[in-house]
Amino acid sequence: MNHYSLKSRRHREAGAALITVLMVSLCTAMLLAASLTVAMTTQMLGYNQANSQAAMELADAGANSELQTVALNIGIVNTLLKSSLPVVYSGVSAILPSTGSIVKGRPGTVTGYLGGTYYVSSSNDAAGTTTWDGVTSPFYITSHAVVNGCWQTVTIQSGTTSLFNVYGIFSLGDDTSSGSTVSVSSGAAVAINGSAGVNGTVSQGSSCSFTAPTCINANCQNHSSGQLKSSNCSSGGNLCSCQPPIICPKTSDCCRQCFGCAAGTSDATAYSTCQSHCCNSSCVYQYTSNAYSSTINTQNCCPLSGGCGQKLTNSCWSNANIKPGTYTSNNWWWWQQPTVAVQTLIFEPGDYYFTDCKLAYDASKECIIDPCAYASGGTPGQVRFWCCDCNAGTDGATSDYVQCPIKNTCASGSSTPDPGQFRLYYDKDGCSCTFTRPDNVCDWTGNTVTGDFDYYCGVYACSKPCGDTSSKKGCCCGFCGTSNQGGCGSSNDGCSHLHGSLLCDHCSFQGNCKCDYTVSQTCTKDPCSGGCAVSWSCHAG
Amino acid sequence: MPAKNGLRNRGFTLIEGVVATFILAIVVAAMFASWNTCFTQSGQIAEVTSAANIAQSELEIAKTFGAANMPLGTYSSSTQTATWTGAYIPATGWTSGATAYYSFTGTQLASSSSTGAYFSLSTTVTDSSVLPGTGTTYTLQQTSNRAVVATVNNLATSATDFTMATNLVQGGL
Repeated sequence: MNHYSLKSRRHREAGAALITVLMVSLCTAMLLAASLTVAMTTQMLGYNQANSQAAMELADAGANSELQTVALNIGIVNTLLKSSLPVVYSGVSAILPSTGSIVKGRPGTVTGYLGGTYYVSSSNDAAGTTTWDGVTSPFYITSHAVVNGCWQTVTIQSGTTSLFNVYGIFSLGDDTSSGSTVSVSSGAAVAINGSAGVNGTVSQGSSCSFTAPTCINANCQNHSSGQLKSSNCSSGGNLCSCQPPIICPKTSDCCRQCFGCAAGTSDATAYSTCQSHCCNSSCVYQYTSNAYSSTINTQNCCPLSGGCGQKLTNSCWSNANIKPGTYTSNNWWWWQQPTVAVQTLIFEPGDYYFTDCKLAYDASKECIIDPCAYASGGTPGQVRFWCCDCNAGTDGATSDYVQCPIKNTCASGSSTPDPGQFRLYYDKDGCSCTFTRPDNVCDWTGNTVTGDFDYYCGVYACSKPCGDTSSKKGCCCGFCGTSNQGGCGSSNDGCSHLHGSLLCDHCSFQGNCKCDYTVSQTCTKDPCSGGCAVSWSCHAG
Repeated sequence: MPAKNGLRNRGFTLIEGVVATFILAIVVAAMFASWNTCFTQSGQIAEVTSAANIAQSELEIAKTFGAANMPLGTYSSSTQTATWTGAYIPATGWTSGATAYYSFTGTQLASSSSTGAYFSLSTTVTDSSVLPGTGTTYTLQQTSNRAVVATVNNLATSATDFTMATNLVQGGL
């Protein structure tokens, strides 16, 4: 290579190293920028995912909080206060990304967690626009939650759950001049299989027992003593107490809500509405005169002409046809009438209004509650007795009673009646309604009746709940079992036996009594009820 | 003159080389710094993601048990709430006072000294609207609210990686 070609080459290659380095640097910078962008994006996505998970859990918490709010406000009649409204709450300014507007619903968070906030409301519609009216089921709870800028929305379809699904027995009233709110007579043996609670005091006679696995003393602020004791707790049971009373709605509140009356409607107007909706005249059935068997179906049963009036007494049975198979054997000839036979009334689903309920024991009278609508072939549903008289006592009748067993039809495939399908709402202030299993009674064949008288139902009797300052006296509900068959240790002990729950101002017990608290899985339509989750969906934002 | 030109060219090549090397050094340094940032961020997000998954898993187990079946805590009359602290251990269920340990990938381990132990998990259940019983005992009622907070910590630094919370109520989710 000569001098000139070398010089030419040097001249050509001048700055090549710098250019190469600059190009390498440029490429590297681009790679670095890309790597950083990917890393930052991944980081952002990762944090967003984690925060979204937390937001979803928080949104669930909001939905659950709302269910709790509904449960806590179960006694509030004003439906606007029962739950959280789907409106913008005071002080809330967060923008919900999916709508671009300020998020609606009650704000809140989980105790002990500061990472985010939920906004929850209840509505009649899935879109979350119409305020829940406190009755409609299903209803919808919408919960939005934000955690570090990540939003999640959870919507749960909710069903109402019954007032009767909380306690076995609860005495809702407070003490009056007439004494304690729970009265257990001397020698009585009362076994509650569920929780038993009082807002007032308990009086127990000598040699009696009153036991429940969970005993609740509420309204302790007014009663430092005289309520349930640890001796009332069955083995391994628990005695609980709380300062404020347990407040439930009045029977008239249930009536108002059941029949769509406004919160301020008077009791008289509410029960007048109840009367106009009742089906005393159309839903009472009997066996047909030519029924083939005692099976309750549309072939064997027909409506009782005229139904029953507004006084549920033994005379309501007087025009009912004879139950097949209950004729005595002395009617060999056509002129001979059966001397002993059973007349049956069958109550189909619907509301019944009574001013009195006086059913004396009579082996020839049979009362069947048919929520399955086997007799009519109609739609199965709840049977509700409203025993209410705004003029209670003016007719001289302050005592109502049921001294006969009440049979309930069972759903197909089940051998046990569903207590959620029969309700007795009692609102006769200053009066009592007693379920009695009498001593020494015989069935229609003349044999001695053994065993319990079973009542599969929820009983609600509240006219003067704790804190009511009116001049009302409250309603009393009584159970009276036999006293001559040796306690409640066996199934044939002759108890007055409630399967379901009892909520009343005052209650009294005599003889052998039982209450098996049973939660209905099918009943969701009780008025003034709480809520429970049915289904769940979630989406971002 | 050719000699002078050659000297000038040699000088230029030297300066060029120095500048190129200087730039290359800066680029390499930036590259390492960037990689370090990327790796750190990647590690952090992997840790947070894993911690969030562990916390959510704990809350989902709590939901599966439901409000009625989660353990009861100790009632305090001053706060009118009850608190339970522990963790879910598959062998013993909800174990009071226990801490659960997890690997980086979310596998539960026997103890903090187990090989690969990276996270610790502690769960707190705070119950409100309960019915007080004797002493520190209490009973849940339909209106009780059970706040469940799962906290995942880094075992080495004891720093909280992620906290997640939800509520449990009867009849709820």
